[in-house]
Amino acid sequence: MMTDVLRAVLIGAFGGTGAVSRYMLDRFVQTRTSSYFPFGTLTVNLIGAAALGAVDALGSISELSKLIASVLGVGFLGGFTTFSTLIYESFAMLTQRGTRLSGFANLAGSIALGLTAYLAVFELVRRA
Amino acid sequence: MFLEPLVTGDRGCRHHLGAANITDVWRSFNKTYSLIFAGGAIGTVIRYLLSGMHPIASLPIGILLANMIGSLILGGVVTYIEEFSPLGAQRIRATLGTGLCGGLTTFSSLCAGTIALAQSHSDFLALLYATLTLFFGLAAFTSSVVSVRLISSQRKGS
Repeated sequence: MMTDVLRAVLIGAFGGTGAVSRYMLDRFVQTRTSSYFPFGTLTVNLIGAAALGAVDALGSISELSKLIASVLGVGFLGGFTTFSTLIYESFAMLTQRGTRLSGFANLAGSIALGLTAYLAVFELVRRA
Repeated sequence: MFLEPLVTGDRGCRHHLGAANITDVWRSFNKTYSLIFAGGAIGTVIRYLLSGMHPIASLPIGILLANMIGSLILGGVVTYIEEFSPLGAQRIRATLGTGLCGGLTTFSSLCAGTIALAQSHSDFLALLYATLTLFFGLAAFTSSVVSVRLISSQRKGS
């Protein structure tokens, strides 16, 4: 019971930290790529997916690493990456004439690159 | 929050502790981060609780729901700010948008869940999960955008 509450509190705290980190990195990237394309969110999501590949691969080693993996994976990286902003930015491009193709590319490209990043890092860490 | 520029002196009068200007800048800078942290922490815990839901037809339905609800809320929040331009729009956006919806939804778990389905079941089920998430996310976002715009146009019309 106590460990369940402790786990939830830890996951919340790391989730909040992940959200603030996402805001900072997104702003850092987006202010340096003067473009309508949301490179900030893409960067955040790809780094987050790749990092979760590493965390998931490490999580199978021991019980302690399982707890750390859930706090880092569900907490920090879950709070760090975002699906709602991906939808928001894609929606904005899809509903505007001239950027429809970019909106579609953002959705399909994010998923395709995210899956590749996750799988590549997962296999790399598992074999190391 | 942590650095009070004013302290109460021993005779009850308030003294400035030096550079109040810098402290004010620090405080407003810090406020956005505090709001994002609070919203993000709450969103993350809700997603964690949802992720405990039993899968339906092997699909991680809890994460799908979290991503759908987060998209629904974000659509409402951004359209509400756009249509009504309320006071403290930036703080609403930081707390509910960047914080709550960002914490509630996840891209990394979507990727992990899709790969897990492809490895344990089939590529078809993995593709179905990713497609359903995108479809329901867009549908939820669109429906709240349309709803808030409808409410706004009725308010402005009357």
